[in-house]
Amino acid sequence: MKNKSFLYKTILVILLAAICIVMIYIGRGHTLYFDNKSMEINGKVVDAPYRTKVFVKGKEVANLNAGDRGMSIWIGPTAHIDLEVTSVKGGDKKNISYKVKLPREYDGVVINLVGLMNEAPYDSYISEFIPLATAVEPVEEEVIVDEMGELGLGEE
Amino acid sequence: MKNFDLKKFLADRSVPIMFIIICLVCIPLSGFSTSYLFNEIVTRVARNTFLILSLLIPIMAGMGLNFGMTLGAMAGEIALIFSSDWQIWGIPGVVLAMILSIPISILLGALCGTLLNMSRGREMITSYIISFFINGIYQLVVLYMMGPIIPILHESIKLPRGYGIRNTVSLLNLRQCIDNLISVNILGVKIPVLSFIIIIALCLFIVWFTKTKLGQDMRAVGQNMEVARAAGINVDRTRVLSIIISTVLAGFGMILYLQNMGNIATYSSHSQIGMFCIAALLVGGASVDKASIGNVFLGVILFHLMFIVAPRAGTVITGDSMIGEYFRVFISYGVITLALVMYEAKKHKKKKMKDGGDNEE
Repeated sequence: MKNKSFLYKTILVILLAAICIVMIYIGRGHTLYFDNKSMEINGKVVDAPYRTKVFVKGKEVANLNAGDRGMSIWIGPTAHIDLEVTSVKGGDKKNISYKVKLPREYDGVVINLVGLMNEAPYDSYISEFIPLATAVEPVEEEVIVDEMGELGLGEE
Repeated sequence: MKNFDLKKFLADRSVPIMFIIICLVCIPLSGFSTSYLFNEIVTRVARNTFLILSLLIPIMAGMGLNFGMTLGAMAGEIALIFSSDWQIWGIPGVVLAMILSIPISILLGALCGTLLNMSRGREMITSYIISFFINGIYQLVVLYMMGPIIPILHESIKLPRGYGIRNTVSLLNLRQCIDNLISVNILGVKIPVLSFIIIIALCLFIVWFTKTKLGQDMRAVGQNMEVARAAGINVDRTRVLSIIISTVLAGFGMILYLQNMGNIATYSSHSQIGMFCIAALLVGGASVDKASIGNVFLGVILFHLMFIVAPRAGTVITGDSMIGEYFRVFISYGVITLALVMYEAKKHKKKKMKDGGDNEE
C-alpha cells in the first residue's frame, strides 16, 4: 500500500515537472522587431520593398515603409508571420507566410524582413535587440513594505 | 413541522443583512450606473473567489479561519516572479507559476499546520502571527537573496542596487490572459468565462472532496477531535493536510488574482489578502466553524459591492473621499471582530446551557 502511494506521488511529481518543461518551452515570450530595411545578401545589396504590412495571428501589427521598424510580441519557439508586400509604389500586393524559429536566449528579436523574404542565411537576418544604454544614473528605489495593510486590496 | 423562528433567522444572518442594508444605502448615494456596478462585481468575483474558497477546507477541519493563507499567497508571488523573470508569458506562464508554487505552498503549509497542531485551540491567532513571521522570511528571500543567491536573469525586475526585487513587478504579458481567453460580453458586462469555469471546478472539487475518506475525516476532526481520534483517525495529520490544501489553493488563487491585476506589488500584495478574504467570507454569513460555497459567493459580492460604492458614497456624504476609504477598512476589521465575538458568545451560551442541563440531571 505504502509502495503504491509512493509510486503515485512519484508519477505526479514527474508529470508536473514534465508540464513545467513544456510550459517553459511553449511559453517563452519574445518581443519581435520587424525591420523593413535594405540589407546585403551574398555581397549584393537588396533594397527594401516600398511597403510591407506585418500580420501576427491574423492581426495587423505593423505597416512599414522602406526603412521602418515595427514591433509585436510572440509566445512560443516559432513565430508565424504573414506579410503583405508591395514592392513598388502602386504595384501589386503579394501575401507570403513565414515560420521563423526564435532564438530562446533573446528577449527581443530583430527580424530583417528583406533577409527573410530573400532567404538570406538565418544569422544574417536574425539578431538580438539590445536597448540603448541610458546615461542617467539609476535612482535608488525605496522599498515599501505594507505590513499593516494601508495599501488596500486590489484597487487599481 | 418546526416553527419558523424569525429572531433566530435574523440573528444567524445578521452580518449579511447588515451589509445588504449598507449597500442599499450606499448604491444610490454613489451614483454609479448599474452596468458599471455589474462589470466591477463580475471582475472582482472572478478575481477573488478562488482565494476565498481556499478557506473552506480548514474550517471544515475545525481549524477556524486560516489567516495562514497569506503563506500560499507569498508562494504564488514567488512563483510569478520566476515566471516573469524567465519570460514565460500568457497561459503557460500562469500554469508554470501554479506548478512552481506547489512545493513552496506545501512546505509552508506543512510548517504552518505543524505549528497550529502545537497551539491547538488558538489556531486563528497563531496562523495570523505565522503569516507575519513568514512575511519576514519572504522579505529576506525577495529583498536580499534574489539576485546574489537565487539567480534573477533580468535587471529590469531587480532593484537598481543590483539585488532584491523591485516594489512592482510587471505582469503585462500575463495580464488577464485567463480572463480574456474565453470571455463573452452580455449587455456591456464582460464575463470572463474561463475564470468562472476554474472557480466552478474548484467548487465541484470541494464538494467531491467532502465526500472522500479524507474529507469525512476532516469533518469528523472538525466536529470532535477526541471522538475522531477514538475512531482511529490520525487527527494531527488530517489537520496538517487541511492547511496544506488550503495553502496550495491560496497560492493558485493569488496567481489568478495577480494575472487579473497585471502586476505584483512585491512587498504588499499578500500582506492583507488573508484579512480581506476572511472578511468577505464572514460577510457572506460564514462563521468560525461553519462555511459553505454559498457564503463565499454572497460574501464576495456584498463585500466588494461595499468596497466599490463606499468611497464614492463617503465623498457624497462628507465631501471627503478618504472617509469612504477609512470606512471600508474599518468595516473589514469590524466584521471580523463582530463575527469572532458572536462566535465566542454563541459558544459560551451553548456551554452554559449544557452545564445547566448536566446540573439538572
